[in-house]
Amino acid sequence: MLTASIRHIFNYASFGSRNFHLSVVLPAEPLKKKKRVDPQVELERIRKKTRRIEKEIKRLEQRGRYLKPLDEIEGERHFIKTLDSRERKLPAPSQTEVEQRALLMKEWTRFKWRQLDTECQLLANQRRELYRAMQHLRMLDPSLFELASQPDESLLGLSLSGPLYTLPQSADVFDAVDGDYRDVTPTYRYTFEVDKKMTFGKKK
Amino acid sequence: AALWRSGSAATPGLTRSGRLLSVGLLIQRKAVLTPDLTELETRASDLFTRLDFERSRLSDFELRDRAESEAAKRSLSAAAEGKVQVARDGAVITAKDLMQRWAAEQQAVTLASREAADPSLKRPAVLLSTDADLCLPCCPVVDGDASLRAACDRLLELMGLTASCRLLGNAPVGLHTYKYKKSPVSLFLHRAIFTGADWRSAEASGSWKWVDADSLPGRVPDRRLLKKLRLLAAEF
Repeated sequence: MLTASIRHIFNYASFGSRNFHLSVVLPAEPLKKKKRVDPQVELERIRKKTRRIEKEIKRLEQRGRYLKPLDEIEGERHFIKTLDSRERKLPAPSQTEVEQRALLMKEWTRFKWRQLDTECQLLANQRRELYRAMQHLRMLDPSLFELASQPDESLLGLSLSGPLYTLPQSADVFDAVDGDYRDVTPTYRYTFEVDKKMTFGKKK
Repeated sequence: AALWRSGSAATPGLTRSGRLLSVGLLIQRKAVLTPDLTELETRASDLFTRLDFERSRLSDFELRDRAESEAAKRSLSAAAEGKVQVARDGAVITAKDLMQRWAAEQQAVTLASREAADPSLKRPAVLLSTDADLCLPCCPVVDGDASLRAACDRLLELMGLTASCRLLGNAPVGLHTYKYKKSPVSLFLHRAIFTGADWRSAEASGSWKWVDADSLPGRVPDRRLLKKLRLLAAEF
């Protein structure tokens, strides 16, 4: 019986038949033992990750991105690579032009030093005048002096604009369009949707 | 309490150590137009502009213009030699077209003339009274004033400039002492800045006028006060 069965196998199920074949040897390490994962621990891990991401998004929405320190900024690589091709080929200034430039720079430096000196003297004189006024006030009325010594909090929001190069055009030359200014700058708000399974909350 | 006039009866005010306390406002208006550059400033500005240009690199737009110019030269030379050039799919609008368009847009813009504007707008000014006897707005400190700053706020309200003027600081910036009808007076000067949209609104009432530093000697009779005003109203 056994011989018959073996003969049957070799007659009808040989190595060239469609049923049995030898595959290529596949070298691989044995599979790792599957760890049993606690579902609660896994859920907690996912929730922590989600919370961290939500916190980061909230921080970004409130304060924006952290700016890189100036010392660490390397510049755009595109410009660094094309630096040689961006050189301006201008003729070198003549000797006369160089001398004129040097003389002008000297004159300008002297002018700015005189201006600085004048402004420093002006500031010192104004400070002296203020000190004198406060001393006089303290002598006359110490309570008024105390109140005058308090810092002025309303100065923080002060903002001034101008001066302009020219005055606004008259209405017959340029008639400004009526209406309110609408800022249509596109802004993109990222919405992070978290699966309800991963968030805290009352579970039904 | 009304505005205190030096030539008329004074309103009773607070006295300390026999001196009458009063506050004065130095309301300054910044220059409305930029001042003209001197000859040296113009030359220096031109030099710095030229140096910035020489030390700079070509921008992306200038690179594009250079590349298009070289391509155009090659096309012309090839066409002159009779070679057939395969038309490339490139931008229809070249950098030179854009520059011409910008130049045309710039020519269409007409600015208001600076020469026609009042020259005094190019300098800062101080608000003084149009009355020959008065100069600065001032008023005595009365019992109802909690501080000098409160007296200044009341004075601004009397002048009707509360919304368009902003007091700078609680402390006085200067002191002027003089005698009024043989009574010594201490006038504490406070600095305020005009922040209204239209500087002409302060002159609308006809009682006040903007005066620049050059015209101060003709408006302020007291030489000591004039010296102080020139110091305190100086611009940096």
